[in-house]
Amino acid sequence: MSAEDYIICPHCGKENLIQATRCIYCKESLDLIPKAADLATSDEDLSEMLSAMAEEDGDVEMAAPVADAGSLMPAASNPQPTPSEEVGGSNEIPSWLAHVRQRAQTEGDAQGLYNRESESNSSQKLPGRESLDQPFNSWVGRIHDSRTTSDSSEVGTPEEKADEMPVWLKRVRDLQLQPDENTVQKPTGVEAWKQEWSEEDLERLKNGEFDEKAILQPNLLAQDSAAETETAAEDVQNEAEKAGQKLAGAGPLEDSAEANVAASENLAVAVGESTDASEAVAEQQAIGQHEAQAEILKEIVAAESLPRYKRTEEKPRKTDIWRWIGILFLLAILVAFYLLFLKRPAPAPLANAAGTAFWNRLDSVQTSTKVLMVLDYQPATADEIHATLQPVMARLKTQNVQLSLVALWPDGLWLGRELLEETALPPTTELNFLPGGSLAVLASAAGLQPAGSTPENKTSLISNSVALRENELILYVTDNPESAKTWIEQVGSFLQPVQSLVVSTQASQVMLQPYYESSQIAGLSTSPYRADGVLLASSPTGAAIPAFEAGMGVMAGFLVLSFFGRLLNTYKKKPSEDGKI
Amino acid sequence: MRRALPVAITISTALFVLAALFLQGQIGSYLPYMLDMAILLMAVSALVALAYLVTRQVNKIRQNPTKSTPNIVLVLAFSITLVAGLVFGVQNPAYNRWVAAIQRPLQSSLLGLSALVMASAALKLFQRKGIDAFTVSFGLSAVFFLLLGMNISRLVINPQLDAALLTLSQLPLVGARGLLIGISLGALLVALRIVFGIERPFDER
Repeated sequence: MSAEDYIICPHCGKENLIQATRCIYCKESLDLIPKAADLATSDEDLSEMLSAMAEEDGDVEMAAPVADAGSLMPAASNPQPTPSEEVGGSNEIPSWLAHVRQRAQTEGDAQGLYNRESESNSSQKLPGRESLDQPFNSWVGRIHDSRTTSDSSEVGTPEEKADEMPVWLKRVRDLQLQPDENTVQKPTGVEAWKQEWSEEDLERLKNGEFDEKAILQPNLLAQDSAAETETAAEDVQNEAEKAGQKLAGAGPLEDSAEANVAASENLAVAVGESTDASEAVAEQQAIGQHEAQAEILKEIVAAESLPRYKRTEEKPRKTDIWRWIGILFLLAILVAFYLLFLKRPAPAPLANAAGTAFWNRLDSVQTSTKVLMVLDYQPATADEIHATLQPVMARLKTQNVQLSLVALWPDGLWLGRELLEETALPPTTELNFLPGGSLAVLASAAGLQPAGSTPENKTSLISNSVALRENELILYVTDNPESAKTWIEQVGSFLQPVQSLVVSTQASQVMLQPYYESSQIAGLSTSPYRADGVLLASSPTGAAIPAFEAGMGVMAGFLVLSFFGRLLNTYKKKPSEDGKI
Repeated sequence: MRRALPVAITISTALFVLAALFLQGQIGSYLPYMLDMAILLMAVSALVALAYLVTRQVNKIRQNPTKSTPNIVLVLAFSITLVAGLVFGVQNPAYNRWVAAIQRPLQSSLLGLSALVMASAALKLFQRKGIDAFTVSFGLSAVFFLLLGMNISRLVINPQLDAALLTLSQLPLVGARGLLIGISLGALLVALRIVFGIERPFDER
């Protein structure tokens, strides 16, 4: 097809058949466009075409239409110089061309299409052709300018059209979670299993509110299939862009309805494609879910197959012979102490002064003197206490004193009864329980004659059942040094020191000895031995003394054994100077 | 006012007891009344604690009867002892023997167990600390004074050595005096803080 067979649309620049009256691309009218073949006929025809175009363009302020083409030629007396005159020197230009150039300057020439200088190869142009090219270029530039202006004001650039996404595409994109939107990224899927369960998760699991799909299933798994979704969305978007480009290519748009129809058809096709893409995405998601579940199961199986604790290295078994040696050593100590100390009395070294004072005070008690014994010890130490009390009770029985017993704890009732039986004292001996413990004793010590008391109501008060000050001698029996301290410091302050004697265990000897040395008590007995080494206990309970000492011997042997055993181990493990063990 | 009242009662009581101690002839005879009130309050608080203990045990039995055998034994023993004491009286010899037959071996075994625990603690001390100056001095002194407390001097024939052992046996008294002085000073300081209202052991806050 030669150049004569088509015409170029002035609006979109596309080629159309020569018989066409409208541009097949932009649907603009082609009636006023001269045929390409006619353009090539003569300058006169061109002038006619230009004048016709000028008439068609009503808003253009041109000179009055001329009757013939010759009138388009500028008169020699045209006073207004034109740029071509300045550039071209003495070349005279026609008036219509001057007018076109003037208008081009008025409307602006951003791209230099109107006032374009002669091409570099203008020298190669045919003579007389320049007068034909100038108006043509100017005309094309105007068309281009108007199209550009209309595009920018009405439709926008093709790129802008492409950015205008359809609603469905926007929704697809909204479904795609952007990383920036999540400030806190919680682990999902398999990573959630790997992490330790929080208290909230456990509570929700207990309540049956734990949504595995929502929490553990990947939000997901869609992250894996997100790529496919995005790809599908991009495909749809590309289709939309293509449609937008076509819309943009439709030019200024008086007849944009038809173009929109075409675009709608394109969009419908794109929507159909997107539906297919959604189905593909759903399928991909299902596959991804199955894969994730399989991976979770795999991780669980792997975790369960691991040992839950490290198996400690088995220590080499110690030889049992050392254990047996230790046991035999302790037994030997037990037997040795029992044989050595049985029926071999000796005074306790710390009890010498206090014990002597105790017995001296006891010997000084006169017949029929009121003696009160306060029982404040527990059954576990009864053997030791009774062994110490046995000679004391025997001496008091010999002196025929008025003995009465008071228990500060309920179990003191049966302990006192046992004591009376062991010492062969008459069962009619007074034995009472004083509720209130130390406080009651303190009250009875402080209130010899309580205010307002009479012989009739004397026993109405708790503390008046026992009047400490009415007794010449008070023996406080305890196995607890703290209780003895309370007695001495609190009750003893209301009594005379010569009234108080304390009977306690050997373990309390050290703590109570200072009270005797500070003369707060008259004496202290912690042993059934007298100061001269005579064992005063003769009843069977006296056997508790050697047993007690044997037990202490075992404890000492245990300490020695552990000490030397450790020393031996240290010596064995100590490396020599050259680093050898 | 709500917080000042307990403080006022505490301070006034403490000052009264101190005054009764120093002015025994003048106000000492009024002290038993106050001490009897204290005894009654203690008895009531003991009853409350007892009721709380029984209630708690019963609730445990109700919640899980299959795993509450110790609780059942405790409640039953308590109930039987209480009823028997109320019926026969605390002075009844049979009742006393029955209680003694249970209480004595229990307490004896408890103390024996505590002795073993302390011995094992000493053993662990050697195992953990190893052999150094501290453990050596601790072990030797423990063994020495244990033997000394067993009247080991009775086996010594030499009188000079016996005198030396007697002198060494006085060393624990030095430590006991120091302990007693420290405890007394601490008790005095706490008493003063309570008297001046600085420390309020009765206030939960």
